[in-house]
Amino acid sequence: MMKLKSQGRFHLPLLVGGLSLSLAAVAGMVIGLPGSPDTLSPDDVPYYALPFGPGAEGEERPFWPSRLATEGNLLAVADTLPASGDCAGCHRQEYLEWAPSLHGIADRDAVYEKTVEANEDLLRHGVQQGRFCEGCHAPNELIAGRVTKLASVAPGPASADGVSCLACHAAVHADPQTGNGALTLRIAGLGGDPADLALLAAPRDHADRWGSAATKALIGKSELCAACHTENYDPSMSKATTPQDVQSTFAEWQASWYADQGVTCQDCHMAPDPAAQVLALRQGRVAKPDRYSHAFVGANYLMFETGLGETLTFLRGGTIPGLTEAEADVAIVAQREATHALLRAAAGLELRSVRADDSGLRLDIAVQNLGAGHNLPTGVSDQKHMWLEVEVQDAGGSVIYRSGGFDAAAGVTDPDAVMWIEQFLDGKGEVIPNHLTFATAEVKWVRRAIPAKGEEVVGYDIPLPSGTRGPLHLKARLWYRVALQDLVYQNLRLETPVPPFALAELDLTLPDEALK
Amino acid sequence: MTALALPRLSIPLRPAVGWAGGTRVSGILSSLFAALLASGLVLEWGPVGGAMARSALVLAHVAGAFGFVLLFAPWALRHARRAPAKSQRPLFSLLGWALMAKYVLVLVTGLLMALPPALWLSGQVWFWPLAATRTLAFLHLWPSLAAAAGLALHLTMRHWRS
Repeated sequence: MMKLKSQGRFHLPLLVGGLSLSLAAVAGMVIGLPGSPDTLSPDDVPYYALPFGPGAEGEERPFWPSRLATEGNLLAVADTLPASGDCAGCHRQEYLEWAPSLHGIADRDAVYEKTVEANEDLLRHGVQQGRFCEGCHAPNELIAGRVTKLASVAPGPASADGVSCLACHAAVHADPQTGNGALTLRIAGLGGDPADLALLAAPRDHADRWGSAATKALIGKSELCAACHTENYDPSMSKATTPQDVQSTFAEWQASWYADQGVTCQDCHMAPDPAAQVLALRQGRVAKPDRYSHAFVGANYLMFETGLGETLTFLRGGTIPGLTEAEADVAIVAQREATHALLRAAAGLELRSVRADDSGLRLDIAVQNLGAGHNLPTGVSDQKHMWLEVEVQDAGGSVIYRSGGFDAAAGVTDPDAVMWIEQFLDGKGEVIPNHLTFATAEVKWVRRAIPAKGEEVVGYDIPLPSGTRGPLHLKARLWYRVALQDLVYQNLRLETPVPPFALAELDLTLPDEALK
Repeated sequence: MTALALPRLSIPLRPAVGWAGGTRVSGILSSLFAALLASGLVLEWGPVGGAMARSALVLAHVAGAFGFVLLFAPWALRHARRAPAKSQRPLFSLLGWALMAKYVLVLVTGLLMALPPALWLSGQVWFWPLAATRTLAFLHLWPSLAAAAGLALHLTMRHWRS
């Protein structure tokens, strides 16, 4: 029998001993400091109600009528669900961009929150039916099992996150055509605690968990956004007997020049300077941004309207967690400026023709969608609407014609204005002005939105009083407003007028031919 | 005024009575290496669930590694000076140098990997680029396994001509 050399005889027992002792110590550590489970079955959450039952093929659907799903239909443990604030430990810039953004406040924004409550009050299963809304606005609350009439799960650190980090970075599947929150999240084993030194030493595993191949394939595509920015009503969440398109932003983009050019939602709404990106696109330059910001600049200027003072803090659902007051002020102003610039880059007005005859003056004004990669307006268009204000003055400055005026004190628009808006109708055909989804039977456009790179020419026949002196002066403004005053009155019990935003303006002296 | 007399610390380099094939230092190094390997493999593939357990294991792993470096550096210098002369087989010598290189690689990459946690504990956030962390983790893990195999070979392979 071969004999080990002396070094082997000396060291090998020590190696084996060291290995064994170390493994024993690790085993003790694992037993003494156990990890917490991060998922659980809906059955394990007391009083978690599933009033809608399984799907047509018997599949579980714990978040119905939202189409949000998790792999394995599991719920997340609220205490261990990674909060966006946890991500801020290392991804601070992304957090500072996201926290004041529309995505960051999506669950706290009072316009949303009060409208959900108004909807929930309509039905016996109202809270559970509210999952339809929360799937997109509060995915963390929904997957933690907190959206149920008798919520037995205490709020966790991630509960108020809105469209959180994991809503996108844990997504492994999206269904852009179906929408209504049709994302599938992989929530098991995400981790991400910055106090985890192993994560800091080797972030590779963390990056792989939060950036799986499926997530990477999805994260830069419009399809990801479409899961929530496509919305349809059916009997699951409304009184509609046939499917009603409510938001079709993805489909609008898909049919546009932008989709043909490979310009995605992220390319504009996550560009560091979205307006500059849009202006470049208007000139045909389709280069991608150098980096992607998490500010998600969109069209909701109201949530950055600093002129509202403390009302703004109320509307935004409070202060911004993790930011000092000074940081928050700077962030909100920066997003306000970015939002205003983006909105102004989207639209244009052009005087197409001026004709005069015995009956008066005929003006044709083109309302142009110059920079939006989707219709104008888009989104929740029973609220987000635009209208055209036209004013003609004579040589003395007297107003001889006006359409589309806005009473800033009352927040009321001329009812005869040329307006691009859709309406929710109840079962009796009555208009629902305050976004009561659960009562809506039909959605119809008053005037259809203007497609990307499209325009609509609006004609005005203006009777001229005899003796009108020229030259005539035309002022036209294309106004945009994110919510109807009725919604603010009825859902928020707030009298603050919702200020409109001027997307485009025309201010010119009409040629002499305007006066025959 | 009398100088403060400090006790002299000495770790014997020669085998103690009854020891053959190693010294106290080399014995400690072998035990430590085994412990570091085990804890590293558990961190890489093991079932350590909680952040606290993982952090404690990382701290223990890094502390052990520092102890290892303190003992290993002077020992390795001496070993590298004296041991090659005793080897009568070129292959043994070559594998010995390769083992030394693997040790150095594992220790250096480990040190670099420990930088972000050390900075975190000192209140600063800093990371290697993700691609670099992947490379570091690769160069830390696989050479450590190769070093374990190399050490076993080093300790069992004849270094004299038969």
